[in-house]
Amino acid sequence: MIKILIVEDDANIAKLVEATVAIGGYEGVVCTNGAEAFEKIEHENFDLILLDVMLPDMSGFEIMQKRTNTDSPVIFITAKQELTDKVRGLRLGAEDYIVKPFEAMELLARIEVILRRVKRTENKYSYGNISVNVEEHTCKCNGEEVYLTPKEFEVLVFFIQHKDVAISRDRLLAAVWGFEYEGETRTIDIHIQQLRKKLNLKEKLVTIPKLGYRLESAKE
Amino acid sequence: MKLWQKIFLYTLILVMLAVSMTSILLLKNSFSFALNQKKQSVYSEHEFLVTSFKSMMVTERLKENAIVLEEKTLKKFMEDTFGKNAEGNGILFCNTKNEQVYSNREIFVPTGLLEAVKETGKSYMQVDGYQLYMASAESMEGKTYYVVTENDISDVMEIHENMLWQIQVISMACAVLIALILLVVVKMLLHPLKKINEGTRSIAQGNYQERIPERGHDEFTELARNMNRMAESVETNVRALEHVAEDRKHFIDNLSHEMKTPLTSILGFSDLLQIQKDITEESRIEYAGIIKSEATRMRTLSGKLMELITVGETNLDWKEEDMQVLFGEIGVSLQVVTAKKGIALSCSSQKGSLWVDRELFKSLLYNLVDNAIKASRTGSRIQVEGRFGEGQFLVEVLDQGVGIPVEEIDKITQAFYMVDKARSRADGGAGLGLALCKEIVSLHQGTMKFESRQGEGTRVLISMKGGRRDA
Repeated sequence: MIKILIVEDDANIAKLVEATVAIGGYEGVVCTNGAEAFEKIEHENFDLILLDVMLPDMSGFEIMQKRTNTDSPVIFITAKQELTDKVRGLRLGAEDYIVKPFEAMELLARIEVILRRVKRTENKYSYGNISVNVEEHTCKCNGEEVYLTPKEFEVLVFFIQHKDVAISRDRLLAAVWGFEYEGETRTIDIHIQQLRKKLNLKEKLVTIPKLGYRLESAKE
Repeated sequence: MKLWQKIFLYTLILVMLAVSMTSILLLKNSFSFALNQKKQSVYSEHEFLVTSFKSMMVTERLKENAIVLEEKTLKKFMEDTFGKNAEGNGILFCNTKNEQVYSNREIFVPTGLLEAVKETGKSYMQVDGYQLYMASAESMEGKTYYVVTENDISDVMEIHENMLWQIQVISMACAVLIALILLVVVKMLLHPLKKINEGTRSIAQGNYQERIPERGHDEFTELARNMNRMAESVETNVRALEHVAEDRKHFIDNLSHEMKTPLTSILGFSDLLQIQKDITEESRIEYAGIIKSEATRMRTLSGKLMELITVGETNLDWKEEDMQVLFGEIGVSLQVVTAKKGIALSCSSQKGSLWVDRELFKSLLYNLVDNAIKASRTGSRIQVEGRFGEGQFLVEVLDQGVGIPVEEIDKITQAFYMVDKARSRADGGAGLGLALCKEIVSLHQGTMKFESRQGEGTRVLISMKGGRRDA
């Protein structure tokens, strides 16, 4: 299981981040002060570190500068939204910089991007009788290969990664088509219909009124 | 044109003018003196010549035995007398018809000379070139003759010309010398101006800490001193502005952080509640609880913030309040809170009155006691006491709480400063209470001091001017 270190001094936000990464199927380890986090980073290996900048004893920037164990990728999560801080954070070697307040799905999407970049995500997913291989870009249903367009494939993977999570059209657009995509949300609906038809997911890939779609767990 | 060029040029022109004028005047004086002397000698010579000729003529008349000498005889006599004297002074006789009777050499009588003599009958002198002509009317042998002598004055003229030339040379030399000296002097005198100029430019470019050297006691030093004074006040003001800007930025930074922290929780947990399908009842209650408590925190923050912002701007309601009554009221309302935490509170004041804004004064004491409560353990005491000193009213808030670390005391009145962030947040503090207190005290023209020992307690001492104690 992918292990993520959460360094955050505010207990509620730490809990929030932990719950959020749990949705993505990751294990979160919470640490509420800088010095302790530094020790952990130095001696343990994490797949990803979510680092707050403003910590009471040792700032996130400081930890970033001092750490010698640089295997784990770092995402800064901070209330500081000035460009200079962002630049500084990224210059220090962080993979990304997320400004508070953030949405749960945004955080998850960014985590996935980073994990994919450092190749720590799984390549194979299975959902009921559907199995997906990200590397080969293939999708099999009951052992038979089903042809999916690249976007349909990505949408499917995104839903499988976030089972039982209501995903808004905007979020899906941002995750699959990119944040700067200015298309119609209708595009999503068409892709969903295609997926439902091709993989017989009418029952599982449900529409949630006024919000978006959700892929229900396969067990039910 | 630059100042030094102007000063240099004008001074040079004036000096040269003065020098030339003085020398020309002197030269003119000495020349006219020399010429006058010459004229005198010419005059006496002329007189002598004429007189001696006249007496010689008398002798000749006697010798000729004539009553009157004819013009011809006279001419011959003249030739005899002056004929050989061609090298010395020239002499010329002419009659009233302007006919030359005799001249010992060719003489060009200057025009106007004879006419002047004819008109007035007096003798006249005139300079023409290097010659001085003197003409006089003399009656000889019953007729009027005009005698003109031509005298060489080339010596005087030559000296004059010589001196004129010398003066020109000397003037030129003087001009060059004066120009050089002036150049050096002007440059030297205006050197401080250059320094001042450089300094001012540097200050204008933003080097407000730069100062102009102040040497000597002249106007430039004064100017430099005033410039420095100006730079100093500019520097002070700029620093003050920078400080204010920095403070404001710091405040905004803190504010945004303080607002974003609860907002993140509120948005995040509500997001989780919305997007998750299966959520346990336990989590749902927990998330809702967090959302509620964070929202409460934001409400406290915005309330305190409004109080802090409006405290200096609203019209204060100044009244002379009875301190004993006011402290009694405050004590009663605070008792409710302290009793809940099991803390003993005493709140009293000496009898007397003070000009205060009632609501602000209450807010001040509430905030201080609120801090004391947060620092105190169950079973400890909080003491609030008001008393009148010399021309001032003193408020003392004493607790037996955790105290404040020495190095933090200076910072605790800063907005958003919290000694223990985690605990303060847990108590619902926004870090604005003491900033508000400081503002209220300063509106009452008072001072606030903190004395604290960690683990033993804190003493807040406020002193406000005025107050009247009732016996």
